[in-house]
Amino acid sequence: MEKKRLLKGAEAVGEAAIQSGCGRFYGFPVPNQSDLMEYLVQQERAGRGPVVFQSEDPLSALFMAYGAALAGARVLTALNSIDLPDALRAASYFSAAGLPMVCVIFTQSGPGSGNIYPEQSSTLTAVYGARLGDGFAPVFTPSAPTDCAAVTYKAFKTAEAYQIPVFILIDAACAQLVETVDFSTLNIREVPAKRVGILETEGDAPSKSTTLFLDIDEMGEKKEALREKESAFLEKEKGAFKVMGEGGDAVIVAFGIGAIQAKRAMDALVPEDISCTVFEPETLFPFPAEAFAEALGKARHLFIIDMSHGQFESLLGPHIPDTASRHVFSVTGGAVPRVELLKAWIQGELQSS
Amino acid sequence: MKRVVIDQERCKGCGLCAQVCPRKILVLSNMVNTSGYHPVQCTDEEICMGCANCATVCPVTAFEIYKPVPIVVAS
Amino acid sequence: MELKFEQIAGFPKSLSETPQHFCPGCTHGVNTRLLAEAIDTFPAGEKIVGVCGMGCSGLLPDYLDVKMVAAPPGQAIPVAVGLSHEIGGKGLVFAYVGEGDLYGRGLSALLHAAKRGESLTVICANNLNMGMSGGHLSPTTLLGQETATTPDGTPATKYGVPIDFTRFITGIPAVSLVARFKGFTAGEIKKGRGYIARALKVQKYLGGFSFIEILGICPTNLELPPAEAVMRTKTAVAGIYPSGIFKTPEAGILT
Repeated sequence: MEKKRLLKGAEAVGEAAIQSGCGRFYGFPVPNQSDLMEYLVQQERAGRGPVVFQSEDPLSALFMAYGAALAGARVLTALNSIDLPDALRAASYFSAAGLPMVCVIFTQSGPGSGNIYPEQSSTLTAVYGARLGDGFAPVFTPSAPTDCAAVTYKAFKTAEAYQIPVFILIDAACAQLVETVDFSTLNIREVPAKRVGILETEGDAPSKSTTLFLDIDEMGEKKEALREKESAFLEKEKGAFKVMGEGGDAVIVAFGIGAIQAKRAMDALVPEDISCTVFEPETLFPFPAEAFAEALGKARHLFIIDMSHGQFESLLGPHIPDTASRHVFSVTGGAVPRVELLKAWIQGELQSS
Repeated sequence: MKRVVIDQERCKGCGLCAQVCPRKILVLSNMVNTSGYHPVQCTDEEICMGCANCATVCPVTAFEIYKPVPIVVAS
Repeated sequence: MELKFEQIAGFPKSLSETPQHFCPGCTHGVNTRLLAEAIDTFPAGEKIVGVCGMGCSGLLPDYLDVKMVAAPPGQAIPVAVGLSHEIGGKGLVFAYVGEGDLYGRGLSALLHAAKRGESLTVICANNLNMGMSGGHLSPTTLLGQETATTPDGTPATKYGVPIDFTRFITGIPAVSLVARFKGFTAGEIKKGRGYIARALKVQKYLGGFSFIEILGICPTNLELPPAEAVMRTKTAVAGIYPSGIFKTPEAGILT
């Protein structure tokens, strides 16, 4: 198979999942997710990749993945942000049972059925929602297809290393964006070893998997173990990010399609003698706080591209020092922030301050 | 040899066995087990016909039933 | 004449010694034993994994000495399906779920798994109410039955007439075996105990989907002594939830 492939973001996730040794994919046809599922089905027909199964609904897909994971399969699921609550419910169970899963959430505009265009209004739900019952799940936010592929490797690695659920949030624009992905440049580590499934466990005591603990002390022990696991995770994982440019006039922070547009706006501002730095968090949990603080040190002005009603800004809030001058560009409803608007906005804000 | 062995600690005194016993030899005793139930007891094992109805309906599997069968000696 | 004593009833090997939380007279205890007996009909090396749903069935992992998974409410079937997919022909998967869970939020997954003929043995413990939550209306609650949410008796005007989900499943082409029996009468338990082992054998040799409903009593929520709950329930389900074997892989639908 050739190393360079022209792929959509959603397809790049699929290809990276195949190369990460993913054994089973469970999904349900919804916009963007379908592109991933169709790609995997084509690959399955060609004799490679995970076994693809279309379930009766997204919730079933998540819990079929749970069953398969219990039996030792490396699983991938994907759904649309309108079904995010289902994923959070499942993540709570994966957390409790200590099972790895990678779940891709394609984010679209809402509330309600909204439309199928990109928005980042599921950010807080994903980041904080996975804390249901004090579970936890890392949240990755790739942008271009190459990043989608790179993040998928990392997601599988993280899920297997800590036996936890991992979310990958991809907005509808990044899912559809097409790019030549050069898999030879990606840092493909060795695929983690296969876990032992419930049927293969040995010893005298037959193994059980339950998340129901009626005894308060027993539940307390389970919680404490989970807390320790999270502490160990946060101790080691400081968050992934990308820093583009090293300009001192402004720091632009954005993720997903926002980061791609921010980079283009940064390039468009060079002829205007405005030099920027773009900071793109690739994980929102854990948030790369140290790297963000370092990036903020380059400029007094912070420009936030928020593709929601203040969700990204509120997530960044605790990490922004009072000394920084904060500017927010909010675009919602399924629109992509246009480069000329971003350019004019940054120019205007800098002039008026 | 006992024909009706009852684990009186497992028994919850529901009385379903007494209801299905054709010989009416199962009754709840006056004693109280550690769980606070009056366990069932067998009043006359000798007339037990070994139908195992009691063991069949018992929700806690408290019964072991032994049935006498003739030893056939080849002549 | 010389006599020897033969054991005709006892404690199954796969049943755990752990005391069960079930109330006195509860049919879940009988069902648990029947499951253990069915498992015991297989050689010791047979790989069997069970899935239970939420409610009183949710503590089954403590009571059976086989590999077991406790699933979230409504998700026992998807979890069992995922297990079955990954295990393939290397083992057997059964699901033991209460009717409030299986026919309520789990119904869609049940029907779809049956439609696909997944390699699975599903046992539904139908005690006509949501037992663990405190005796609330369930999908199979009978007309006039008093529950915590219908204290004046369940009315048809508000909750409709009960339907026979087992009959519905019988009609699904990919389903191999369907049966129902009362888990509270000696005669039917004796007939029904073989159904579970048979269903597991259908799964082992044909990879088929089997469905067994076990009718049960919930004396605590009926607020009746167990013996009376048996009489009352027996009369109440007559003609609505009939017992018998409704479908076999050999003969198809039996009338």
